Amino acid sequence: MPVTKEEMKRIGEIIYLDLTDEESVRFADLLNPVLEKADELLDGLREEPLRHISQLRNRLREDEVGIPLPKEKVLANAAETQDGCFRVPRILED
Amino acid sequence: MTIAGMSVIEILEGQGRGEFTPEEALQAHLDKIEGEDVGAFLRLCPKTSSGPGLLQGVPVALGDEICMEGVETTAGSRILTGFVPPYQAALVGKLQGAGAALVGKTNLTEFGMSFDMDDAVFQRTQNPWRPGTNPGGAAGGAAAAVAAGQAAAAVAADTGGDVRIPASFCGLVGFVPTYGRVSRYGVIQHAPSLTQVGLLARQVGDIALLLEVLAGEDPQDATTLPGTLSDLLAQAVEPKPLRIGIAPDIYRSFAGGDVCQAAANVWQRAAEELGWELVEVDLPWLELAQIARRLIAAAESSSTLARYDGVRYGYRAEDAQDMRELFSRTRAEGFGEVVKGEMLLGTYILGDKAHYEAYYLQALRARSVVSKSLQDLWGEVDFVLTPTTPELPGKRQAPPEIFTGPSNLAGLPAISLPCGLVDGLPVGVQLVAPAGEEGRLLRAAHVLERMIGFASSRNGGGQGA
Amino acid sequence: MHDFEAVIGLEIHVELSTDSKIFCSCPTAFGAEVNTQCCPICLGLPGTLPAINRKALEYTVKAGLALNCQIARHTWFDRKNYFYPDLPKAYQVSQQDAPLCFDGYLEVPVGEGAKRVGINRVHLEEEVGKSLHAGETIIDAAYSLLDYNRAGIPLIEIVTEPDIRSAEEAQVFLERLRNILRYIDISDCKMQEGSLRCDANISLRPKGSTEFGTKTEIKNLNSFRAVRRALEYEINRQAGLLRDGRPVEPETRHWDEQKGVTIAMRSKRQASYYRCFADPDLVPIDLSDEWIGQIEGELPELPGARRRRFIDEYGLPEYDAQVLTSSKEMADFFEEVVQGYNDPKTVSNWIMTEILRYVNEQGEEAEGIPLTATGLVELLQLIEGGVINRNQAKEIVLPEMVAAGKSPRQIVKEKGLEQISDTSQLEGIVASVLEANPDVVQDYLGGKDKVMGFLVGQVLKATKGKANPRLVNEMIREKLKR
Ligand SMILES: [Zn+2]
Repeated sequence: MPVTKEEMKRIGEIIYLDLTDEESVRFADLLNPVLEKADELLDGLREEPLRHISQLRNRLREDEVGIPLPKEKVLANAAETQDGCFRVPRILED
Repeated sequence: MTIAGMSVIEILEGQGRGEFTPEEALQAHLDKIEGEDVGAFLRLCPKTSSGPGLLQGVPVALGDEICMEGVETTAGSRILTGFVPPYQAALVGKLQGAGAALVGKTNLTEFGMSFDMDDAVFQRTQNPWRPGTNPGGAAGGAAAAVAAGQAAAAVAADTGGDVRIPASFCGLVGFVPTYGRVSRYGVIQHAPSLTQVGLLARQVGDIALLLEVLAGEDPQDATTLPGTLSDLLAQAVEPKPLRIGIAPDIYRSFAGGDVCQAAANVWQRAAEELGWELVEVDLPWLELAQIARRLIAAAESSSTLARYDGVRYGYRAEDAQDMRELFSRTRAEGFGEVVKGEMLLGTYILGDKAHYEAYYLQALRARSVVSKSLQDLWGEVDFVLTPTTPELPGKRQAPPEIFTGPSNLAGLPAISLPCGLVDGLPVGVQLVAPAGEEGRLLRAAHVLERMIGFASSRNGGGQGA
Repeated sequence: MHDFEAVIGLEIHVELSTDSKIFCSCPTAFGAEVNTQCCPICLGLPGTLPAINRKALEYTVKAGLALNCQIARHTWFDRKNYFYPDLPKAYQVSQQDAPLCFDGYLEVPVGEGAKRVGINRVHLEEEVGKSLHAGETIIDAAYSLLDYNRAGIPLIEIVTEPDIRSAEEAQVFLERLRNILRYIDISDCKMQEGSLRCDANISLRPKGSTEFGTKTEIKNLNSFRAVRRALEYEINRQAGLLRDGRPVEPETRHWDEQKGVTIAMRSKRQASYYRCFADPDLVPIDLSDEWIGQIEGELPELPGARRRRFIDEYGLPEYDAQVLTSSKEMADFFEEVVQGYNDPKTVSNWIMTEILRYVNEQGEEAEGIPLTATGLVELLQLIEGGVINRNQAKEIVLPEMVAAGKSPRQIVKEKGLEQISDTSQLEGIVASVLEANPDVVQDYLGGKDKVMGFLVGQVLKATKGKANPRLVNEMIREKLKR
């Protein structure tokens, strides 16, 4: 079933990409052929999913404390800061 | 011979003979950047050689996805505008430790998410072989820089052919090692499970040298392989003729034009002149691999690129009244079309249980199919040989990554060698090797390189002997 | 509530007390200046990669073993994707598909007996940062400030089966759980600092039914008392709705401690589907039997076993053993004191009556025992040696030990509390007391032993309590030999 304009909008909202009607249509048109091809090619595969491409296991570090970044550097790239913190406009959602 | 345009080894030898200094080598390349604007660099950060080492005085370009401390790093995306990393990619430290001179940061498509260099956000990059044409992507800037003699070599991420595709169109050697061979720490990625740190240079010998410098376990990257690599080209000659897997079917299925013919010529000559054994193999999963790779890349990017929200760094939409507006406007204004499309695709296929199972999980199953099939092939052949790309850039008959993507999907080393000209533009042939076999791959490529005799200089008369 | 039964499950988040964060080497200390315990990795800067802290992993396995869980032999980390400013990468590295520990239980006392509350899973994940809101509430704040010191502290999530049947049971479960986690020393479990947090799922069903009703999730439970009160409130609220034939909405509710009510939270974000998938930046973990065995070997004696040992080894009554092993610190304290003063029952009495009083005064979030074991040993020796009496020890010396942290000997000296055990000093006082109370002396001589107490008391009074009562007793008996 092809992705609809409405579905496209909803998908966009999940990742904070608000789409106009026109964009929703355009992106749905982009996705649909890909999904169609995926439906055709991927259907029926039964192999174990390959979750990790690396064959390595148990790569762990010891619990040792290092030197954190100086606070000025932590904040250096932020657009807005206050009282040593990153500042964002009010959060309306939970 | 001018310094700009020399291979890494030639530069090292020239310095060794006292013909020029590291400073002069760097200056020659900077002059070339000044003199021939192909739009390769997003910014220059010329750092003279930091001391003696395997790459002393060799000017190297870095894709702009590679973080350098104190140098703006955007990965080709507006959303990272102004981002100055307070840390450095592990590979940058290794290059500097080997005495390389870092020239600057090269252009790429946004986060390397398109193989079409015309999708690049900040500027157009030209193919030095023919200005006005597209050098291929995603690492088009890195390839253009080396081809134009603005750097002797370049390092850039490869997630599906990003380094090999533009290498082939720019007459260069493009290489990806086994997944995990070179640390990805500090390399801005969109699909970490597919990303191998790739290398671009004029000669196989240069690649071997760079790889010896960069390979090795890094505690900061859990996926790095243990051990180091050395004397890659100096090891013993193969005891028996190499067996090369060729897949005649793919020349029928995917275009089969001149680009593919150039690759076919290579295996025919290899059989005749080198005595290599040709083994016909079947790669029935190329399209499956292509779609699986795209879905996996899309899914991972929907998550990996979610951090760009305007709070801590990078682009931030102005005057947002609340957090939702801040997030959505920052992301709407900061990301380009291609990235948005792939993130939406990735969100869709992870977005609920049914989609996850039908698309993402199936793509992981396809990844198993492809990996196992290649694994089985290694019983019969030493390498698989394909064209690097099915056609010249911009033709759009077949996905440009159709032949390069599978090695990323399976985490295998692969190399693209220039093998001829089509319509005056170079094209490449690709060898794919089993995991961990970079040494054998580079030695075979070295032999093949000599047989092909491609002159990597644009002024060298194109196709050589 | 007679007609309904509550079905409660808890989700508990516990910050592990490792020195460094889960994926980077930043320190984890509580209360540091904002944004001073951050690095490119825990800030989620582009291109950085995580490296797992071995201790965080082993602590999680310890928790699983202490909660009788199965330990996964093959496990990995997933990305749980959602947007919030306190989440630097916009995904939390967590474990969705392959929790490190699963299928366990914790035994809790219920009435006279005990019951097992199932543990569905214990998994390892990363802590998020903190948003500080300008304004009264998150809603009317004009802006928020973000501090990422906490981001990346290792966190375990413990999810129980819906086996809990009352608010009281929930509280007892949490107390037991905290006790165990402190015993195995993987977290300080301080609810007021947020290193232990609890959410509760609750539904009601008619008694005898085996179906589940519609559940609500309660958040913002910042103390054990809050857990109990909020659940009591919610049980009544849901029962009221059901009795009226109205539906319980499946929603998340916020506990308002001041008003003592739960309030439905605005949930604009649709059903939270987190688009989880395996984090490609981390390789899987394979746990061998040997490794698990090694971790198991590091576990201390758990409360149940210790309780039984206290009964067997020290001959303590069940009740004493129960109280003393209710925290590792207390049990350790007891054993340390007994080392120096080998009278377990006396030590137990002192801890259970006197010491516990001080501990309890600190409330739910007891900071621990306010004196050293050597201090108590010394105090008990002073009593035994007749230097001070029990009352002086309790009323004067102990409070001073707690308040000033001084040794008992020092306090006795400073306050001039040494008992007068020198007969020559007491001779005159005893004589004048007998002289002043001829009637009482007569009564004694007449066979009334009881009056001896009065006479000794008079001597003590005259010496401001310093006289050694046993000695005074002997002296009077000697003088009035019948
Ligand atoms: Zn950190």
